[in-house]
Amino acid sequence: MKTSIRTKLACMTAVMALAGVWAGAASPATAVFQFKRISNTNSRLTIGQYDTATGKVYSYVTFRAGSGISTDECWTSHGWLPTGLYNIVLHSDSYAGSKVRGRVWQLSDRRCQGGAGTLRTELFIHSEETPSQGQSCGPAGTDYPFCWEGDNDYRSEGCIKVDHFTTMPSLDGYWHAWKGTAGPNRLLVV
Amino acid sequence: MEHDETRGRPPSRRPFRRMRLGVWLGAAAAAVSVAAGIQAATDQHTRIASGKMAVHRADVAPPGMYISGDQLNATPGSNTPIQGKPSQTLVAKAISPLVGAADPVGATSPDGSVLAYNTWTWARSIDWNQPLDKQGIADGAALGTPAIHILNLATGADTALEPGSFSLAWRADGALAYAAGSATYRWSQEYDRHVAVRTPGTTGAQTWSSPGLYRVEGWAGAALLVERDIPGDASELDVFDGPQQSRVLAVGADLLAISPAGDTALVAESPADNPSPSVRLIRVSDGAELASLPLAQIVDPVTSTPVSWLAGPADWRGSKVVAASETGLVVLSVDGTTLNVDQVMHLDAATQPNGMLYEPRFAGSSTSSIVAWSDVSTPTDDAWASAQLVCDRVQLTCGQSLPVTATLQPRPVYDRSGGQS
Repeated sequence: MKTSIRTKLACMTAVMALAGVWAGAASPATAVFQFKRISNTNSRLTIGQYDTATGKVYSYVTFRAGSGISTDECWTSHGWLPTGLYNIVLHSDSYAGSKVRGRVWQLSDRRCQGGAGTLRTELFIHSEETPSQGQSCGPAGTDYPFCWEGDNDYRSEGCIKVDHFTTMPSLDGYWHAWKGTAGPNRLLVV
Repeated sequence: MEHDETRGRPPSRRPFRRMRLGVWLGAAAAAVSVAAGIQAATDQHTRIASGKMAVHRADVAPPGMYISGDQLNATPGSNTPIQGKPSQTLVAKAISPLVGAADPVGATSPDGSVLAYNTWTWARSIDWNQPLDKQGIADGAALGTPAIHILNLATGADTALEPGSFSLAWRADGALAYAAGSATYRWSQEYDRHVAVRTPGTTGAQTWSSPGLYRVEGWAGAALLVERDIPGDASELDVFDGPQQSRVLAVGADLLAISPAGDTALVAESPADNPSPSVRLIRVSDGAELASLPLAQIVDPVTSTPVSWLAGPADWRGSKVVAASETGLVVLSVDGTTLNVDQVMHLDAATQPNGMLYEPRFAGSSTSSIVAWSDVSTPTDDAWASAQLVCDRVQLTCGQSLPVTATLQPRPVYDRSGGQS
């Protein structure tokens, strides 16, 4: 899903530049994310290619994404991601964690600003797939962790989740095409 | 031929007699209610209307013990050595970033003599509104150290358990369970910890589990309930019957509350892990499901739609359980093997981002009043604030305190445990 709203792009660029994305990037051109919180199951994840030397935005693409089951960012393991900057700790195309598998980006911890002061941890951008980027499904009626059954899978324990079939291949493709690397300030949540 | 006592009598006679009896019983019930007070009626399983809560500003002073940052307060009648005395200053602020409001920040021992509370020491000052790499913080950098403190409420003596200790629950015999990790929490590195139990009269703690992302929830008699987080997927509610003796009680479900008797646990399934989530009443001894209530049957009275989630920690008093919901508060009735919706309370503010009501507790000895707290929505970039609410679920009203700095929000002191060891 490609959008052509130039003002939105300019706004995103300004915000990320102000937030220090440029300064934190190690190479002249790299890929960065922005997650715009709208609802738990229908928010927007944008990936963009930025030239850190010139500040020029070459391109960007926006996808549907989900996060959490609640809009309370201090609710550990349930609320959507707190606003702010995140590092990409690692990216893998064949991650074989206990429950998060396949194409994943691991995010840095972040503290929420509410009274609970919760440190949100164990955060990822991921889908529901196997380490080999496939599907492991069973009979209908059960939510299988490595099977993208439908819109309910946008809900998460707080991570950012994207559709296995339509979004993840594109997202991962752009990440590699735009020379994405792990590093500081690669994701801005607004 | 079947016996029919109405045969040969005017057909209207029996309903009339029923009505007269109903009027008489109603009048008698009203008289009893007036005499005993609405609170008593609430506790006698009287069904209370669901509805929208009217919130007004008020000076609230709910009964019980509360911690605000490093200040400890207890109202008269809270059955502790410090009740009614001026606030006591703790040696460290009570906060638990690795738990948030998912569990109590502090809990008193069963005999009320000792307070155990969570603390956290930041390794350095951090401005979370600025890039952390500009503050010299890289992945793996030391962020802080959790530590449980033990305060003797009579003498004021305060001692700290080992660095890395957090998340606690008292067993009826005075044993303290907690999670124990390494001394330093490092940014964005998995912080595995084990479950430890410190029994009275011993100096050290016994290790009950292998390393994992554990949080201690509460004792159910002699069994210990813990939450085990699994990165990116459904968490587990596990039961430890002893050291290295664990079993899974529920998957993809949060503990709402443990019954006062300690024999059952009420859990709420997450919509992230179940397309048709339910509240489930589970027997702790064998994991048998005694009752189930689909969230689809918990309907908000304002939106007329089912709530999508219930959150722990809830409070279980007698046969009533109060829990936070997507749109406010829900009171459930639990009686043996039945589970019913007692009341659904809608609060407009709770439906806003970060408006969730945390740690709802029945206030005092009745179940007609509920105390909770919430972050108060603020414009972007403004400092966050929190407020305490005391709600009368009979009158459908809530008094809300003046907002305070978020980290100074009074948080209740309680233990989620139930039963005898």
